Amino acid sequence: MGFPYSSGDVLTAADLNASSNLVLVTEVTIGTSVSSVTVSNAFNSTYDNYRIIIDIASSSSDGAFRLQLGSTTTSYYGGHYGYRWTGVAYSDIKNNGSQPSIGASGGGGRGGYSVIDINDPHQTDLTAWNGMWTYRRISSGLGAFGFCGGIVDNSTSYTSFTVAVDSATMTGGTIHVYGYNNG
Amino acid sequence: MITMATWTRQELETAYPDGTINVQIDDEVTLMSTEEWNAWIDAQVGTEKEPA
Repeated sequence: MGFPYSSGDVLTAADLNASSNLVLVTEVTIGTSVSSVTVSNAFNSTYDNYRIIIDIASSSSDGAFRLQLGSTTTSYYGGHYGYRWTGVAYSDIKNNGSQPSIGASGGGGRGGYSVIDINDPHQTDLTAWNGMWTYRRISSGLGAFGFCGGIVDNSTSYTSFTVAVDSATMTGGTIHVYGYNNG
Repeated sequence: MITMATWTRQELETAYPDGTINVQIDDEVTLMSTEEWNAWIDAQVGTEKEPA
């Protein structure tokens, strides 16, 4: 049945599958004083592409936060690039290195926010991602916004990922994972 | 580009004593063991105090 639907239409499973867009896969509420959060069942064979929304309510001090796919700690290329509110540019980039940054979390109860799209994490193929982030700080000219992107150069099929913040702990907030419906 | 100060082991041990750091898997939060805490401290030495 063609979209948009009209009053009185009888919808089939095929209709609903075709018109569902982002589908919630899982969500995690960030606990208290945690250095890392692992989301276990984030990726599966139903979806090729995912959106991950990370909203860290507060962190104990300022720090970049990083993405780890499964247990992989090497072969990452990428990172984040940003601009502080003062206009100063900065970057944190890995070239065949450890877990790359995907945002920054501010101390003083500010936290951080990232929206990441990730491609083929569950396929036995290279995994890529890109996204935007905001570092919620006002004082000292630390606050910033920017983009992130990268790949992990292997053929591992992942089901999980971990977010960890540098030299700080996180308290509160959420991580949501949505799958892009293939139709 | 700007260069940031980095964390030392002593600063980290003062800010995050053993017994105060948790790890989380899904909705389960667990206190780090002393061994895990030591490894975490080691991994954080040299990280920037303000994200770069």
